Amino acid sequence: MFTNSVNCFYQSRFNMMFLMLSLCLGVCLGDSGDVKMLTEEAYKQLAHQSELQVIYFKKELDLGLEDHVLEEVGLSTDRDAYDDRMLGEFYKEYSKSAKVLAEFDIPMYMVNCKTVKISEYCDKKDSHHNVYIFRGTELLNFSLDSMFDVDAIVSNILQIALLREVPILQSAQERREYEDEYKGKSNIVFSFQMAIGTKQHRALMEVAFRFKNKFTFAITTELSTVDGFPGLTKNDEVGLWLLQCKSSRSCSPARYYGRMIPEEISQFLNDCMVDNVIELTPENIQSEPFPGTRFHLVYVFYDEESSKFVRTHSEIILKKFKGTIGMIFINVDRVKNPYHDLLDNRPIPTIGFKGVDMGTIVFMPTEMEPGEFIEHQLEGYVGKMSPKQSQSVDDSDLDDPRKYLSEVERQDDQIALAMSHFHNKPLDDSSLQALTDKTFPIETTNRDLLIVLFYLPFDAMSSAVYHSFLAAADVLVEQKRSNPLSSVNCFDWTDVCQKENVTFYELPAPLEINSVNEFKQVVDGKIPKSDIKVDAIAIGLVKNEYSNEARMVGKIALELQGYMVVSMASGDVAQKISDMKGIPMSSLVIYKANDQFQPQVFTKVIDKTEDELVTWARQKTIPVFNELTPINLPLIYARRQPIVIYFMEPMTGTDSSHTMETYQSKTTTQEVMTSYTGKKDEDCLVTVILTEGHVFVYGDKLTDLVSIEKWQKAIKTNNVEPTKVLPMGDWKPRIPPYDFVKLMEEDNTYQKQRQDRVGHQLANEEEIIFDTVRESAPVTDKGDLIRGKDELPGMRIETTSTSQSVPPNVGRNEL
Amino acid sequence: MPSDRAAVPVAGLRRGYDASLTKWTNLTFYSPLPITGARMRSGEMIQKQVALLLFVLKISLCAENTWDYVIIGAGPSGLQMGYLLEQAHRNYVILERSNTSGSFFLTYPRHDRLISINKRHTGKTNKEFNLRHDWNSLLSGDEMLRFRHFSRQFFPRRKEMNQYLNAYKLRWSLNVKYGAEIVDISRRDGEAARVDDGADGDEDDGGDGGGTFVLTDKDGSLYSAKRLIVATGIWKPNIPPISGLDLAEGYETVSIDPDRYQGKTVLILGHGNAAFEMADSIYGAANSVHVVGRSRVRLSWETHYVGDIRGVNNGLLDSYQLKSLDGVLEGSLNDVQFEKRGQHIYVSLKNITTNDNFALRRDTTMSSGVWDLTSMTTFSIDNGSEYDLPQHVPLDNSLEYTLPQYVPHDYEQRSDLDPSRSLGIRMVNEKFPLIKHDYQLYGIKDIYVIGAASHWLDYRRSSGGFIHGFRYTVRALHRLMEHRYENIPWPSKDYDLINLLPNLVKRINEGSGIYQMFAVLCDIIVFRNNGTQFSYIEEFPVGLLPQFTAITGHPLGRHIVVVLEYGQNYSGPGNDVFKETRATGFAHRAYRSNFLHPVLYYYERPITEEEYRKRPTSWMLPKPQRLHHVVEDFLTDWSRDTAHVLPLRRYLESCVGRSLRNYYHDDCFQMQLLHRRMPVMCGSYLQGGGLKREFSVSSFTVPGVMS
Repeated sequence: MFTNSVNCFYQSRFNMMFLMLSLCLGVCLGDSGDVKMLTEEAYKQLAHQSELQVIYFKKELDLGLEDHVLEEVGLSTDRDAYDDRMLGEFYKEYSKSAKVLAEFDIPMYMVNCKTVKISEYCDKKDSHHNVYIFRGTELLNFSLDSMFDVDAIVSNILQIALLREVPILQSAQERREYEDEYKGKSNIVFSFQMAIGTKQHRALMEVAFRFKNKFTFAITTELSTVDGFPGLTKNDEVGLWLLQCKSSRSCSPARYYGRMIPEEISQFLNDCMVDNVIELTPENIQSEPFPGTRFHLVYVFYDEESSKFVRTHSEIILKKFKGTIGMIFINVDRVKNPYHDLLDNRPIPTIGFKGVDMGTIVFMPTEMEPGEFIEHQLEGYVGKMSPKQSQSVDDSDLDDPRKYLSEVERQDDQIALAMSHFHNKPLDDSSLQALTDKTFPIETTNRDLLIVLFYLPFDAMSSAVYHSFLAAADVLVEQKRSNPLSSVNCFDWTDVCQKENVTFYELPAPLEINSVNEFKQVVDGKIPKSDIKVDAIAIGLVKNEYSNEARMVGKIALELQGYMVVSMASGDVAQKISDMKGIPMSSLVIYKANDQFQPQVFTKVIDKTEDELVTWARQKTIPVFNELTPINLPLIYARRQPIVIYFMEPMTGTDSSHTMETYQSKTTTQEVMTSYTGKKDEDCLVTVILTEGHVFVYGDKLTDLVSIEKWQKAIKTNNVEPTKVLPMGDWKPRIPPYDFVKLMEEDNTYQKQRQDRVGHQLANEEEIIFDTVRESAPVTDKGDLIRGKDELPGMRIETTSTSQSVPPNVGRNEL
Repeated sequence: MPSDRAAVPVAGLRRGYDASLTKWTNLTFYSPLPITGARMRSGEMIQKQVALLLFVLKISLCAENTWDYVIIGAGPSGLQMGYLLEQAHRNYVILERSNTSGSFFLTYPRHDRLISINKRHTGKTNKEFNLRHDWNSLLSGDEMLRFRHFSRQFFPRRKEMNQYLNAYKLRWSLNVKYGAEIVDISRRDGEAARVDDGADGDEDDGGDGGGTFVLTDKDGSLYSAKRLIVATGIWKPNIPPISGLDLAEGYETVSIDPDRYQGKTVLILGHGNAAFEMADSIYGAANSVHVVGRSRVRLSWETHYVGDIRGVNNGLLDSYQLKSLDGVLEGSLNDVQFEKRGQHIYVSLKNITTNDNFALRRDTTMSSGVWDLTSMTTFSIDNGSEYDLPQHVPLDNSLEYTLPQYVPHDYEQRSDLDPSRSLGIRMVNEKFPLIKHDYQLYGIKDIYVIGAASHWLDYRRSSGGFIHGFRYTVRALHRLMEHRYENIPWPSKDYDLINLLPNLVKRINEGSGIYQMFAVLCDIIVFRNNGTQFSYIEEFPVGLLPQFTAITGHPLGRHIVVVLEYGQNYSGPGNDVFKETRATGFAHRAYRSNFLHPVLYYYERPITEEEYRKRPTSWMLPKPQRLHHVVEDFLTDWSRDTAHVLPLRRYLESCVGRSLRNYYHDDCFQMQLLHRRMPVMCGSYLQGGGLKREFSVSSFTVPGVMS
């Protein structure tokens, strides 16, 4: 209807234009009931109203031209057309806004100054360039420039309507004072908005209007006001938190993870008012938890022993994720746990997370804190929560790709996910020399020491090593030390990597020792300086770099690439090292920093084959007796021999800087030990044959050496049954891929059905047309139209001998 | 205009060796440059006689030159094959009729501007990737032999191409013999040229027994070859049988001076790039230029076929649609005739009947008496008045059609293999020699066709008729021959499964062969050792997949075929390629991708010939056990984490039946201690690799969701 009025406006070019427009507007708006046309009488009545009123004074356009001039030139000048377009769009948006604001009992009016004489405004210059807000008298006005669309109009007017209920606080100090005011009284919904008058601002104001009696609201456009609030980054344009002031003295903020649309914010606020904790009991085990909410579920599995602990700690979690998660406590000692199989012998207590639309529970890894774990899970939902009633979402949301994010596209590769955080972020890689096809040969020739990382950015593992390498280079630069680190991007410089025969991308290549000083630095672990720690270093001492033994060391270095640092000294440098250390020339020496019993061991290169040397080097890096770690297990495993593991209580008094490492290794140890022995914290001795999966647990006193020896012999001679046989470990894919064959077939079926339907309709409706076409074009026996020759290129096969059909194995398979 | 392309008389030339050779009648090559008695002047006759005498002398003094491989033609494809043979240290020669490499480019394109893209800058340093946007370079190991060093023009000049090809020849010291115009080819009886490997479908080859080829050039020199590679291109005018066409001048000789067309009304016959190139150069000078062809204009950006009308040549379409007297018409030229009356040329129809698929239609909206040509395939004859048209219709007394150009796209240049004289050689559309997917002439062993003349295999589908396409098919043929004749398997690289995803992502993001020859060449991942390892084979012809092992020498079991494809219903003349829904950004809708994107077909076993033949319509390959589309990307960058790499990983996991997630080494450590078998991605951990968890910032670590 309003569109018609706009058309009227455009078409009117003469003296009657404004009358026609007014009539048109009056009829249209009157019918719609959204924008009400004010009479003089009605206008006077407004002075007695205490509610908010919105009025636009529509005036005759002052083009500064006489009528006869207008007739001659019409409205074809740019200025006229511009005004027409601008006001036409405004009328449409004004009408839309009236419909929205009617739901909030805020009426919107229009005064036609041509027929309604309200001189106070109609005679006022440029009054038609503003929208006026009245509450009895004029409150304030907005320029049309700030009322450019329905979102701007609605949000601005609601902001005025709720000026007291939703104050704009522009500093942290103001915010704190506001919090103090409501402590013990009310929770505050606090929002950061990059700008006023946006779609997000409108959403917040609409919600504030509806929830103004249940929550206190406030808004800021200054990032500093919400500095330190969880989940906010400097790039965010909007954020929303529930400040829990009502029952707390700290007003701790709970972050809102959904989208800034009214339906989801409302859902969140409703969920904030719901008790978000239940204890699983035999009575409620079958019930839907937290009906009516959109909670992500957090399962807390605990036992009697850990009951108090989890209760205490869960309070913090519940506050932090208020309105977002519902917590279900499950006492595994009391309730027959329906998730028992999923738990799979995980240590209790533990936490599982089930996203709102997810079918599976994800368990917290042992090295993570509960808060960190939940935060991480929720990160996947930031701005992605879909409302329960999807039909209420604006149509434009249907194209939101995030809605379709399925399990297939949810990253579950730990390293890839870690690397994804680096993507699209500026990276200062100036400390790491990036080599090219031109600089690589020059640098490798000219530099005394150059450590080159070949990496492929697509490969998560390779990319991770690159960042580690870069961090090492940063340290060298910061410390103003010589920096031998460089890299080759194997996607940018495929040819360089091909020449170097790089087919996989991991750890750095060997290095050359050019002085005794460098030798000392290598032995001391100062070169190469990297986050990648190595337990052992191999150094070849050769007579000259072109000798057979040098080539042998080079080959070994290649074999051991990614395994240990292999370096080589030749000539005088080698001789000096030989003399200094008492190691004969032509030897390969292993230095083991972590072996107090055997820090160095060497062998003559010429006494062994290349393979023997590699095996020797690998095995000799293992300390005589040391803690079993992820680093040395592969070496031990390579022996293919039974491994005797002594599980012991961790030593106390650990340096605080190693807390995390100790914690991690402790949990791994505990998991392994519990799996082997069923015990958690007793010293015990286990022999495990990994190749067969056999676990033997020693049951007698650990101080009885004779008994231990007997036990060992019994294992070797197969005279004792394994205590446990390890599972095989089927590492199947977690998530199936998209089944495109099926999807394509479904599409084809749909298309075919659609074509059949359309064809059927056409056959009935346009029979005559089909007949006409058939008359004029050749048809096959089946009635199909023969296509033009050009549509089937290459169909004519000619031969000078006899005409033949094309055999099947001939090219051009369309035949 | 070389309308008479009579062969060099061979009787005298053959005399010297008829006793030892049996003339092989199935194949005869003819002189590309006509030397006819009618046109020879007396001086030429004398020269010819001298040449004959010299030839006889040569025959008596010289033994024939013996080669394992003889390439005819030193154009781009011939040089490309020469380079590959040179690198492989094969015994070969390239015989070139002229005294320069790439002599085609001395004449064509007539207006001096190639339509092959010379994109000198891509913002990337990856050399393989950059070949995706370099349409002129030949493959070689010398970066300085990239065409961008030879021309700064986006559409280079033909002279620059000629210079480039000669530089290429010199750089690699290719064994080119200039001035060797082959006039006859024979084959010795009874010699098995090779042991049949069963890979070429010989049961259909028409009983050719094989044997050494003997070639004779116009000077009488003899060359024997075990294998013959035809790289002569498509350059001979193919003149359609149109009455009065002698009034027209051909593309090869027509004046390209726009001033020559001032105030003229010009009709150009043909709807190909040559026609529009001509139109573009003269429509600013002429009264009007009308371009007529049999079918509707095919625009390359609609069809995604680089041989269709390119944007660089389509100025006339703009003028036509904006009604500036120029225009494009459709109609079968078989039904028209041209006649000269005075200074005017008249076009008229022959024997119009109601069944003819061509007619002249009066445009009732115009009163000037101008007639429009239209195709009857879309025009309903429902008005009797149309039949009353006069048989001869002067277009307008004030207008004349001047100098029609006969370069219709279906009648344009053709291969040297002339069907009217080469008994037994089957031609396609009178233009391409019929060859098999292994580029071997149908019915004739050991003769291969490369370059533009081999384009029949992917005509209007891919780029095999152009340098940026056939440089790869030539390499494919070379690899095929290396195995077939030299027993060297098709090159492959072997990897552990751990490297599958990164290498595949790298390959689909840089591989130029599968990009330029989309839908024709594919990469193949062959799984070995129970799926724990794989071999990667590049640029294999899709049409040869049923013969994979015979062609490559590699066994084939479970495998994935990697190709690049456009959307099935996206390309085609008249299609709306700018429609709003032309592209998708969603991985789960990747199968609806319209622009070029990677597609992966997984098979448990090799596909058979029958399966290949009976594949579903519009499918490039038979339906696989598992199919994956990598969603299209605006910049053809398929490396985004969740949109490209992750769905691809899921797909690969389903093919190999194993998880391909990466793990930190402490995860591997724990899994190793608690299981008999570790995930395949912990493989490098056991070899001392792996990544320490403490490397990653704690906030970046994510839960280990164990399967």
